[in-house]
Amino acid sequence: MTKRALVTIAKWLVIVLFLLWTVVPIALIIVNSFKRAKDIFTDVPKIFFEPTLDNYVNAFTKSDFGLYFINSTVVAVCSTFIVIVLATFASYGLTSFELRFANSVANGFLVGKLVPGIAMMLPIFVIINAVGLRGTLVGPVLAHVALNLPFAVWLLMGFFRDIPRELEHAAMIDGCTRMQAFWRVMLPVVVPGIAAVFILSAQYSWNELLFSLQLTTLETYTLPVGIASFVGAISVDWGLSSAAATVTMVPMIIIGFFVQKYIAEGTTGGAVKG
Amino acid sequence: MTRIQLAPRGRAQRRSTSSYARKDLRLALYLVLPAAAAIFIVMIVPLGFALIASTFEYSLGQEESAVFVFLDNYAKFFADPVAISSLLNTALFTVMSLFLCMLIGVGMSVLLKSLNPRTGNILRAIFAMPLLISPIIVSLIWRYMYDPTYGLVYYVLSWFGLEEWGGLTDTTTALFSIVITDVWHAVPFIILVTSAGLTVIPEELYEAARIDGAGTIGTLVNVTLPLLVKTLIVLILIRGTDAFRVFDLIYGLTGGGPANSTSSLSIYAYKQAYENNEMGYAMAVAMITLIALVILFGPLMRNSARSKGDS
Amino acid sequence: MRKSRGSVAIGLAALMALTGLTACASEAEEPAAESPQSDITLTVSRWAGPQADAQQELLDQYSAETGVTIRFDAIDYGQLKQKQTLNMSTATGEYDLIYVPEAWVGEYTEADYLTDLSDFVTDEALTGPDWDFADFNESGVEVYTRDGALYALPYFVQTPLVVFDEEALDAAGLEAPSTWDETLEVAKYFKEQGSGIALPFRQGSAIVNIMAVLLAGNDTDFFDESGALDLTNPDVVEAVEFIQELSQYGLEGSNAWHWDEVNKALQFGQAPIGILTSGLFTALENPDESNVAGKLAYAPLPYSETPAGLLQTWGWAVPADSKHQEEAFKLGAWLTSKAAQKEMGTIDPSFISFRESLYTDADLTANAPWLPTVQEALAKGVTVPLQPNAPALTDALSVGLSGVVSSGEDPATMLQGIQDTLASQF
Repeated sequence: MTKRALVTIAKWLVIVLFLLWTVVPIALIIVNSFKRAKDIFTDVPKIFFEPTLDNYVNAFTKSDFGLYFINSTVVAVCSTFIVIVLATFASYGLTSFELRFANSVANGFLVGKLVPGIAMMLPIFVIINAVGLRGTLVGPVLAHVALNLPFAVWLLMGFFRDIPRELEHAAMIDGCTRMQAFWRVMLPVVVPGIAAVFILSAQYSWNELLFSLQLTTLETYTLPVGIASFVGAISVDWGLSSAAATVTMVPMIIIGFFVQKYIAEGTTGGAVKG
Repeated sequence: MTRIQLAPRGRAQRRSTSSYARKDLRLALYLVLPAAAAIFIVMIVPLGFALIASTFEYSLGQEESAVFVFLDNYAKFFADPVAISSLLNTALFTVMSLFLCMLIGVGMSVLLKSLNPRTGNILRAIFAMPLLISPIIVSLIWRYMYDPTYGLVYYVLSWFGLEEWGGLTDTTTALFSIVITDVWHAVPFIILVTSAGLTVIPEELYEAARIDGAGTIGTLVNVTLPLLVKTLIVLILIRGTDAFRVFDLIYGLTGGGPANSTSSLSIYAYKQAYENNEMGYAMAVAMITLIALVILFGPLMRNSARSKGDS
Repeated sequence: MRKSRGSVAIGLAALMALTGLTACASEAEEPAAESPQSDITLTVSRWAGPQADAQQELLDQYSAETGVTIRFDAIDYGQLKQKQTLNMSTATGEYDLIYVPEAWVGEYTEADYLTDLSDFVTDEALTGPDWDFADFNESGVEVYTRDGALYALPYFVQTPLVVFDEEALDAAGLEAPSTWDETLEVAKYFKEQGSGIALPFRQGSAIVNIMAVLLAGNDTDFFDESGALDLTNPDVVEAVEFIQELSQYGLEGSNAWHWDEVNKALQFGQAPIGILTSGLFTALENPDESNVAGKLAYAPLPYSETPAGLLQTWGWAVPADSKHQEEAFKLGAWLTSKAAQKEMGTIDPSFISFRESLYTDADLTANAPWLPTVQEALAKGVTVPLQPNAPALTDALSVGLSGVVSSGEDPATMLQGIQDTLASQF
């Protein structure tokens, strides 16, 4: 009994420590976003200070933060949606049809993932420019889709492989078509994987700087481009960048909060057991 | 570079006799093709470009004066001590970051799974937060954390009398300091994906283990980890290859210093391309990065592909 | 039957992908509507920051005066060169006027990215009657000239200076430092008091900039009189030894700092003395942002022979692929006109132009107490190496100096090493 109590205490100690480790750095930035520059850097951290919204007002007036927000949303929504659709189909196609070349294609996807970013920028820039899409959001969307696909396909392939073939066959014997069986039987089982892919692609796309800056023009900049301009190498405006950082991270954190529960619970996880 | 690997012949023969024949094959093709096309345009085409460019000595905007040098750029890499130390830094960074991420990430996921689902869910959502933050903001946060005067890191270290710690300013500690930041940012990724993998493990297996009298550690080693192997391999592949290409955090925190002690291959390649304007050489560095990745992670890829047969 | 199911799936996938993509495409709108007077749109590229905010006001003014629409693309400095070169090497015509430092001009002209402005500057139809090209400081024009042709209009100069809290020095009974020994004495005193001198000694451009000024202050250079690399010259070694000694009295963390961190350390009174580039001085004297506003004094970097400064400059260039080269030059000429430059200096006091007529302008010096010191330093203004392959040298020096200050590497050995590797290239 006492041993058990000790284990429980140790467990919670670890959890609390990890919680502090995770939350404190983020909390610092959020608190700083409400401080005047003079209150941020003080020898003794100021816990009581007169909060100000100036940094937020500046973030939205000094730059096109509203526009960046819309662009970021469009890029993240489009690229995440496309990644999920393409990855789900591709991973299903690669695992459930006994394709001879499935392994080489899957490995080819992963080799794509290994190509260093520096090798990608110039060719993609030239291609996007040649087809007249430079300066539109298509550039970053395409780049984000491709960069997220390898991981998404590999993760979902793992889920599809774990589904017993009999499940699909049973559905088809019951009169479902192959695609119906896919929608009704297979898809629900991989929901945790899709949820993971959703969070990972959405956060990547929302936060990515390089392609979102180089393939676009000032009408199509996203939030990270705006933040980078405050943080820049010349001078850091700590209050302003903290405010911009907060505006940028809060929506993702909220979405993450809602979506991650599908990761752990799944919807019909029981189906696998049958 | 692509590892061409055919499935065992027996499988192919079985396919031809299987009930869903050609039309299914076509359906499968249609399903895979869009994803393959996206990857081809964005990654494989640039790869071809990088391969060709790496055999030329050329600068951006001066293509007409490019000189074909065949493998000279590669030879140059291995003759440059800075390049070699960047390679070693990269390898060291990857090993440290990967080890810590996997240890903490898998540990925390298992711990969360043992809590009641509601608490676990809330905690997991909180633990996921760092992952959702842009790398620019992550370096901003940690520049503040590592500030010797105002930073929390030194404040905490001073409790233990360790405020003399070099942090980002010392050649012996700078790389590890960046590893810590990377771990902070990437552990949530491991937690999320491992948690998704854990859902697939049937509850019955745990019950069976409990009936057999297995302890917590026994269950972990005998039930959880073996069933997680595929997820873990994918995680090591993805996380390891990301760590090997680390750029943002180093660029934001130290710019490769002090004295190149945190220069990674990506930082080195970036400098060659956009500061020294040696595009050909930069592409050779990129190709070497890719080759190193295939050597390091190729066996895992093959392993992961094979595990299909086992399931 | 099965075939149709397959097609449905494909159709669906294609549709989803397509709607996704077109929705994204339609989001990218055309730039703002036509102005009544002019249908020309000019795109300006530069780095973001306080100076860019000031610049925006002037550009708005130009738009209002001429009807020209201006798209002002101010981005993170770290991404600027990549974005400019990607666009110019692909000849996208995206930019009409770009902000360039003297260090990029060699590379840009070699790649034929820039328009020769030599004929434009003499054309009164483009510059306006009172523009007065002769008013530009000679060294400013020189750094943007390649083979007798002018490729950019000199616009902004900054140089690193020693900044110190006068009250703190007085209280300690110390004199304003000017020589190496005096500076070391002051730095040592404050180090013993628990702070130290704030130094931008992170591996990067700042530490090389400081070295360049110290060399000039020691009457020496990276190169000997014939132009060959000469890092093993005793005077050079001496200067690097001074850097090493100074770094021992650096504020904790200085070895990982760039300009912005030094700025912060001075601004919040963490360091009573530091080395900072003049382009960031505005925030120091702004009482809303600074704890030391009004208390500061400025001095040239420590020297052993003559005070020296760095010509760290930015100018306006017109890319060769611009579709409106004359209009772009007109904007550049307007921005570099006396009136516009004075206004920039008024909005952002740390903005220092190349217009000699403004150096003694009473309105400007009132807001910028450092101006006389800048003048004094720039009387002997030098640049970092500007040869086309100079980045290899400055990069090697930034790494070497970083080693000297952070892991105690021997200055002479470090310099000898770089000399051995790079002498053949210079």
